[in-house]
Amino acid sequence: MRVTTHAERLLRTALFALCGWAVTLFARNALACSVCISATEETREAYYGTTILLMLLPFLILATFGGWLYRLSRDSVPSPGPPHEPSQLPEVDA
Amino acid sequence: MESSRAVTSGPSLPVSNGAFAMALFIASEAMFFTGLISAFVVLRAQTLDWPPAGQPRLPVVATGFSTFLLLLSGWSMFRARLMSRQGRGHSAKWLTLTAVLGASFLLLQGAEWTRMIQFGLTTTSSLYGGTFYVLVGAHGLHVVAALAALLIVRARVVRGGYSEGREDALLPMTMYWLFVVAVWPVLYALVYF
Amino acid sequence: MAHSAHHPPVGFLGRYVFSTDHKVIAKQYLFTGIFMALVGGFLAYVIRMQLTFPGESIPGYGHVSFVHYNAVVTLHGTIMIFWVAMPVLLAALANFLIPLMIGAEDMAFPRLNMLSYWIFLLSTVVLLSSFFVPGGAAAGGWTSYPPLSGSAAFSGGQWGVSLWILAVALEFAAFLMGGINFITTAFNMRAPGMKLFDMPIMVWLQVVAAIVFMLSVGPLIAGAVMLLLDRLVGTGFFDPAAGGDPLLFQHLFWFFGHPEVYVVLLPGFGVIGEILPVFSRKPIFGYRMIIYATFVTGVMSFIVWAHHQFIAGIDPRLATPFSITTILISVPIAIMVFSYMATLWRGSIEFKTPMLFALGALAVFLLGGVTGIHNGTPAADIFLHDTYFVVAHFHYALIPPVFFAFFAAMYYWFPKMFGRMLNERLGVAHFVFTFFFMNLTFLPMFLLGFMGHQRRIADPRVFDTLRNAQVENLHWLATIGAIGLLLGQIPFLVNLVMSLIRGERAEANPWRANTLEWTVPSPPGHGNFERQPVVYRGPYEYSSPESSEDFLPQNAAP
Repeated sequence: MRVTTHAERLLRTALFALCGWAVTLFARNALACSVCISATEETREAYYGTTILLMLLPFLILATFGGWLYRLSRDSVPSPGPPHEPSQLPEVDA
Repeated sequence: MESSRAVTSGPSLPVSNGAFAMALFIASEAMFFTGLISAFVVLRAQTLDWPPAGQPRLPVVATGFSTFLLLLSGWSMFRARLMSRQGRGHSAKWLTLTAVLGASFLLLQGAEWTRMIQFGLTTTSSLYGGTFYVLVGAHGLHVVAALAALLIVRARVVRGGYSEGREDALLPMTMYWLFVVAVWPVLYALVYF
Repeated sequence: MAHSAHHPPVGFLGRYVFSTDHKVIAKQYLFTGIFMALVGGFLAYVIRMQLTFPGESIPGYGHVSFVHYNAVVTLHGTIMIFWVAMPVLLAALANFLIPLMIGAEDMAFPRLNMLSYWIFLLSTVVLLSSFFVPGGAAAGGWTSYPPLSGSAAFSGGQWGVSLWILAVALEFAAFLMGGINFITTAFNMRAPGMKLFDMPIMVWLQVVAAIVFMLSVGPLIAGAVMLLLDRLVGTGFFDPAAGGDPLLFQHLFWFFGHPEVYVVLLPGFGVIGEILPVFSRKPIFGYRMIIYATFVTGVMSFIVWAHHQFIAGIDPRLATPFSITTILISVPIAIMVFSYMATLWRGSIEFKTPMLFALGALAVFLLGGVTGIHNGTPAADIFLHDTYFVVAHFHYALIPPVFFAFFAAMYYWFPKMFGRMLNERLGVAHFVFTFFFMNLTFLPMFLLGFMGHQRRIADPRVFDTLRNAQVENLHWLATIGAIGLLLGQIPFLVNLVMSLIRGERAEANPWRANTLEWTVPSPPGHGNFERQPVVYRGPYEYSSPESSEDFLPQNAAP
């Protein structure tokens, strides 16, 4: 289907861009930096590490959450067909 | 959480509103703790002597025991949900056990805190103390909140407040409790070692 | 609570004050937001007057001291972002529209929804009360950077910043509840037949905005807690003298601060996406593409934030990747803008007021987006950072979603909210004033920025480089624009009041639109839908050959 191709192409481009971008994360040589105020290399490493942690954790959470929902929906019996009458539906708890 | 409403829904997710909302809430809570942990990591990297001279060391072994109690409470919460899900009437007992274990974790932590304050580790004595009380304190408050919610849920289970046919009524509570339990070992490993 | 127990509330208090009805809560948020917009607008007037006539007494406010100026700037920023953009765009519109658009009778958690508003109102009271405490309101900037905000000596009194932090924390608790509610409702309460990709763009963008908000707010709350402890207990997390690090707060703040921009932007784009197809009588161009672009925006909003710290002193190794992502994030946004523009192509465009504001939002936003590239490039940012160029940039980027899109939404959904039409002629006048004076206010600021004019200074004449006629003239222009912009809102407020009292009665579907909210009477009754709607088609089937009319409501049976 046309729409799926669009989605796939977008996803592929996004992944490709992400990989290209990730390369820049591995630059080891910092250029002379007139505005760096952090005292030690350890501090810089700590900022670097926590920056990456903070950035990646939302995606990890979304992936976990999405995976959980996917597994649940795969395990539950799919109920296709016409829309139900309201009165016949089970009560969904909160 | 809100009580249930009749949902005349069409396509929806295979989870209840409560469990779904709880998952979202836990996601933002996880980010909150990550913020605190980031701050801790940066501040620790910045301080040359960590732990600072003249400050008491944290009680690794005693806290290890309370860690064990908390992990145990996670297991008993899991059992409680299992019982409730299978329609067996024992879930209130397991909830009681969970609450007792959670409360003893809090009491032990409180006892350690008073001892450490006597030894001179306060929020203002050093960043070591400050970060300790903020990280462990934030978790402690979460345990208190989870305990209060647990007692409410337990009272409802005893009253028979969860009607028949509401499968997995304990799921949101279990999710939150397990989250609070799961955060602790991370904090323990970071702060105490 | 079973379905039958969900009966309409009785009495004035139950119906209008302590209501769990999402429509009433939306209106409560709306009016609180409009009130705060007036407060924020007044503060903008004080800022502009002070910059043009430094040291002179300002009519309606009085003399502005330098400390006071900082407080005014801080509160203007805080109010406009947190107490106008968030409640109006996110809370009011999402509350009103999500259940109606997806065919639900209310939110997933109605009582949580009510609690959310009351906590928000409490936070408003706390914030406003900080004007009257000893030492004055918070003066640490809307970003509240330590050491400025960390100690009473730098930021007015002991009370101001502490109350500011408390108010912001309460507000975020309120929006956390709201956000959980919106997402759960949209995913779990849809009418039979409505698949995820049958949801209107507005609902999608609100959901993505809520997800971004929920995943980004945690670290800021962590930072705020530590800042509050620094002030109240004296811990010193952000105090270099005690071994702390002020940069750490920026680290935590901007992790939230930049996604927040997209939290505000996306609902605004959702409004535009609803209005353009209706007034072009044409299906929206690239429905799925817009939604995928929204996902990409949401994902990328988490990996751009450190560009706010290019100058603050981050590791240069991080500056390059963040600069790249910052420039790349304009791609999904551009996809949305181009899809919207393509929607207009060969449509039968009707220039009603909502359409004017929607198009105006796109036009103005273009300039805000393009100047973002300059700020996102470290080389340019070193020069432009903390100048009026940045001020102009973010006003051009945020006024379109926050005000233009909000006005568009008001003219478009007012009939549905209150059952009466807004006056079209006053609406057009409002648009002309707003559009013209907005540009008159902020275009000169780009030039001021290029001339090296710093922001957050109370008196430009203190600096030799800024003591010349050109700077003064540009300030004059901007101030005339700001006053015109504020006066230009009078037609809107008059329109609002007049139409509420004796506006023309609105029919159920005055704009001949497709989405579900137009299938119920205006205003909708309690429980929204008398019979459960069933959805058979997507939201944008205009000029369909299947129908003799030029629109096909989502619940029209095939």
